[in-house]
Amino acid sequence: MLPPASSPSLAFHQRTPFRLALFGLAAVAAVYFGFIGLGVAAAGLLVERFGYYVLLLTFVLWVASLWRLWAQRLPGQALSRRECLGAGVVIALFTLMALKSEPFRSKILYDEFVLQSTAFNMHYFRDTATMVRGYQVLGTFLSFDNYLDKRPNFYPFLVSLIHDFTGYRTANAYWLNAALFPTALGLAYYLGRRIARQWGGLLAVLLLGSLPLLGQNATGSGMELLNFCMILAVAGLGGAYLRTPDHTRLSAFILGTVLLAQSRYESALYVLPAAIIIVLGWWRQGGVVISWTAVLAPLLFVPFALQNKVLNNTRWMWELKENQETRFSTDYLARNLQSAKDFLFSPTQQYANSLTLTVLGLLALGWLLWHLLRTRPGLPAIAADRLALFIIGLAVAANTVLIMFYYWSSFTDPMASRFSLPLHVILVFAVVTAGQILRNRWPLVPALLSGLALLAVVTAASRYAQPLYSYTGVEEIEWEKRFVAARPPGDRFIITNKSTLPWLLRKTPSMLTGRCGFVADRLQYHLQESTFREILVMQSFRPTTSQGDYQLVADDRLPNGFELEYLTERRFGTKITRISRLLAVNLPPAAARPASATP
Amino acid sequence: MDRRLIFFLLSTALAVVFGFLVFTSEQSLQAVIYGGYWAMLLLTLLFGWSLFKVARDIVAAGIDWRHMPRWPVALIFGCGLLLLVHETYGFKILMDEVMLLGTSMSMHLDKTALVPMRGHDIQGGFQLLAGQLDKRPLFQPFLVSILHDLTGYRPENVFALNTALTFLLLTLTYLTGCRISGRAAGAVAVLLMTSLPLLAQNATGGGFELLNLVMILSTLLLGMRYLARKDEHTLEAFGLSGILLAQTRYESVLFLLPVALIILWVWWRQHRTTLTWVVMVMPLLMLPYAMHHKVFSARESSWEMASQPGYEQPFALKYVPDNIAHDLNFFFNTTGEHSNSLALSILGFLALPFFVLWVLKTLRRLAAAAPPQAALAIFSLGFAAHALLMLGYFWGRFDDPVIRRLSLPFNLTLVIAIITVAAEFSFQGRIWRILALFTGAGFFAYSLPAMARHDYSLDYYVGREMDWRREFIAAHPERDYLFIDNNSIIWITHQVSATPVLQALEHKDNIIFNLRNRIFTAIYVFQRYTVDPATNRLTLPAEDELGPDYQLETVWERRFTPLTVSRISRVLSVRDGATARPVPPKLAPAQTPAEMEKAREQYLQTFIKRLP
Repeated sequence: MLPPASSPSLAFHQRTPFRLALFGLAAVAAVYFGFIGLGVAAAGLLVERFGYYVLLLTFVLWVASLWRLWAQRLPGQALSRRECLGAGVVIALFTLMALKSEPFRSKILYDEFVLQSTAFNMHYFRDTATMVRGYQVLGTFLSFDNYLDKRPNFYPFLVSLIHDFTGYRTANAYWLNAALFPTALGLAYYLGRRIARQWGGLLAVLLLGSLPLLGQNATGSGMELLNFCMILAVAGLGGAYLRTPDHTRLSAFILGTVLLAQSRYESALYVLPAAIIIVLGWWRQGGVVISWTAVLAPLLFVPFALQNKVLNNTRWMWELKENQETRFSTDYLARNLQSAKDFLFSPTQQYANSLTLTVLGLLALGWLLWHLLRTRPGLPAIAADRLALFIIGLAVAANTVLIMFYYWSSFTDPMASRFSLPLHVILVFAVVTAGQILRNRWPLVPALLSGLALLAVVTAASRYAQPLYSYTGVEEIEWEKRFVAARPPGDRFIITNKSTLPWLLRKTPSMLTGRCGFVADRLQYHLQESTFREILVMQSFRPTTSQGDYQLVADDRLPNGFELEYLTERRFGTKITRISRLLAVNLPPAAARPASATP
Repeated sequence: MDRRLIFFLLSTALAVVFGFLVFTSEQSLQAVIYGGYWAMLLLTLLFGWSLFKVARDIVAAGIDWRHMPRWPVALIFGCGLLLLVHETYGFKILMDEVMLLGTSMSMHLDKTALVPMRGHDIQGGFQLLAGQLDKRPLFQPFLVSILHDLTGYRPENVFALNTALTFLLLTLTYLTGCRISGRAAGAVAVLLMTSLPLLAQNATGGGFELLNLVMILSTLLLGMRYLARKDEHTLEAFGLSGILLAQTRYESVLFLLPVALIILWVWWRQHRTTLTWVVMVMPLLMLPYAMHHKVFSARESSWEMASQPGYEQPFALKYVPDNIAHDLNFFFNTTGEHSNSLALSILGFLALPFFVLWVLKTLRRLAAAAPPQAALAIFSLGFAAHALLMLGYFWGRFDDPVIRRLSLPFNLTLVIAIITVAAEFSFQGRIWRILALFTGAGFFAYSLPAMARHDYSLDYYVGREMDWRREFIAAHPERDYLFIDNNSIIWITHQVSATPVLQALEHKDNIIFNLRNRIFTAIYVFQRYTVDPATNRLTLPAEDELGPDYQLETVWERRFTPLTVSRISRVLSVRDGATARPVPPKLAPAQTPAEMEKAREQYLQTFIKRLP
């Protein structure tokens, strides 16, 4: 039991009014520095240089508060060995299924490479920035022309942390997600158990484990799984705080929310429900509980606000398609809703959805709404965990509504189906909650729901077996990497028609095909100087008629004077990718001037 | 009448009506294609659940595992390793094992019971485009598909399953021996099984023989337990084990006879029927078998009569004398070429007449017999029926490389016969040591060298050719090529696009289109040439001939037998225009199989003499 926070026996710095005043000051400072006081360039520079350290501080504080929370647990609260074994085996089986369904490869081009690139710079230079160019200089691979990317930084930060402790390798990003998958299922088990005891935990794991979309992300290097885990963690911490509002739980909850906000762009939304949960905790406690971490929290949001300012003022980062002027518009709503329906209710193997979960979840949601309206329970009557989950669920719903207005969030687009992941949190816990309420009336409900969840597992096995939704173009890059890796060792320079990042991340200098015309003389110079063992060129051919008649893609054509030697080629879908070696660059005399820099 | 009994009779009647009367063959096969996987899933879940309940009863009975001897675990582990270490994993019986693998692939990918006939990488992933229902039962492919589901698709998963089943089989063998006459008997039973090179061959293969033996023993053990305890949980597990056994190998349905007899015997002794809801629906659970069996009436070719010229019926009494001669040739072969165990054969055939007498004696005083003995005596009727069926089978010659594996249940019968008869001859309690010594001697003197040489596997060149194809795939891991091969399923199950030679001939324009548009990085052809022993000239059989339009370049070539050369060539180009049909090769004078074999052996002698 906490002493009354305003008790005169407390030291001045421990008194609530003082802390509240400091909190207000921190909030004002955060708003000023985050939104008003700094220009775009300064904002970018500050985040680039110091964003890493703020994130590090936040993460360390969070881990410490979680540690304290763990130490606070009461005897008898831990799961029995039998329950641990049962849940562990189920989670392990789902993890095995997900990890063996696909090789480690990027699912979202080129987001995941950008995140890895930020992690690269965080690891080597503590810079929160993505590289554009990179070269070996005196044996050290240095990144050049770095810029602050739009993507939130928690995921790259964690990857960089793994690099720090185990050494740099691109696989670390995948291993992180491979570890986050069972973590997500474990958190789901915890939340399900809080709602409906052991059965609820297992049902939540069965429903989520059989969602191919979640499994797909376990073998990728995107930030979706981390965001998903953080939503579940924040819901769990919110419930823990509402059960017993104290400083440790508050700190863990607030820091979790700060990190959640840095997990995906739109996850900043969760700050509002977190604030509501904090206030509800105070209301339930009958007094204000505010820890030093809570006082500091507004300032921890500053890098995120600054990064957002840079994004809002850098139009090319929005990646708008032709004829699109804004990122959010009602014009996109109808198409997005239609595609959401197509995705969620698809019975085919084309999408990574779970039809069983959609149907069960929507039925459960409908019933719960009706039940809620009918019974209208008072706030004090709602169990803390359900209340926290309900409020976070509202934010998830708001998140889903928001992305329905986004220009690129058609769930049937393999690149955008991941945006539906948070929605599945609502569906799963609606089923668990409804099942728990209904089982009192119909004892067969748990068996029925478990049976349906098992059916979902079997159908998920088919999708895992043939993940058609994962062929988003990365196979080409993977094949190119395999081909290059099989060649004799040595320094290489890659001229690619896709992204340079996959090569730069492997510390292989790379350049886009389109730049060849601008730096032909430099390429000629380095060919003459044998700076690289070989310069490889990646090009694509596309069919031009129904009979094929393949032709080189116009953008992939090299300028006149570039002599290539064919090495290999392979078909991907209807496209053929060719790898050649640059033999010579024959420039007209006027263009051949002495080169003074690297390509 | 008891309401449950009425339900049971009703479900039996429904099973007969739906299984044999209502649906046409085509409808039944369609039902198996789309419902077979789900039926197997249901059966396996029910069986697993019933075993769990039996295990719970065993634990509740208060068995003290800590005071159990540990040497049987070491024995089973050691014997299992001996069976596995001498031979490399591979597909031993073709096309059986590849067809099973194909079904497991479709079950994994599409939850359908089809052998893939076409498959291609279209947009990045390898997709199956067409398939056909195989005649083989679905339980083994289903289990392999579960492994695919959990660990991702790879043909080698079937080897993992058979490895696990090897240890499980030895464990069940030990338990069976224990039930018959104690731990020493169990140990001798394990040793006898280990002395069988045929078991080692199948343990490292991709077939369903190991699973069949496991299910036979599991059914027998559950039958023994049911006779002893007469409880509902064991009854359910026993019945389901029998049903799954029937779905493991074609002829294993015969074991449903002793299963039914044991259940009826218990009911008769108890003067009441025990009908849980699982037991009541058991007749309906046999529907998948009944429907699947129609493949034999829908497709006459399923009997594979054409593979053995001169035979017109699959089963007949007239085949018995010839089969007996071949079977004895298998069991008492002393060269090690037939994967038999001399120790097991000698002891087994000595024990067999006594075992028959023991069975008859036990059946006559069944009520007085101990439950394990009574169950074994009834179950032996299944073994006997199996043996008789094999003797009347047109292709039931155990000394045939493809058929040897069918002798496995009979070898198991011999093991059980030895143990049962030995239990009657105590020899002052030394019988087990004597048997262990004899088996050990036979194992080291005969079985182990035979297993080490495993020429019974190597002689079957089709299996080695299969391994060679897998070597090619391993050497070309991108799998971005097309294979023209009459055994196209082999490639498709390894996720390589493939088409038969006839398709390549009849749809030459498709191959030209593929070549022109570089749809495949390369197009290869697998062909098997026959060597003329007199001139050494290579001749291509008509079914492998692509004709003059295809310009080929040899890539890999290997001589697997003295008179065959297998070749993998790359298609360099295909001439456009009307297809020039292959010129029929100059045929050698027609020879009988015996003459061909004689010529082969003569050539082999010359070949060996001329080795440098």
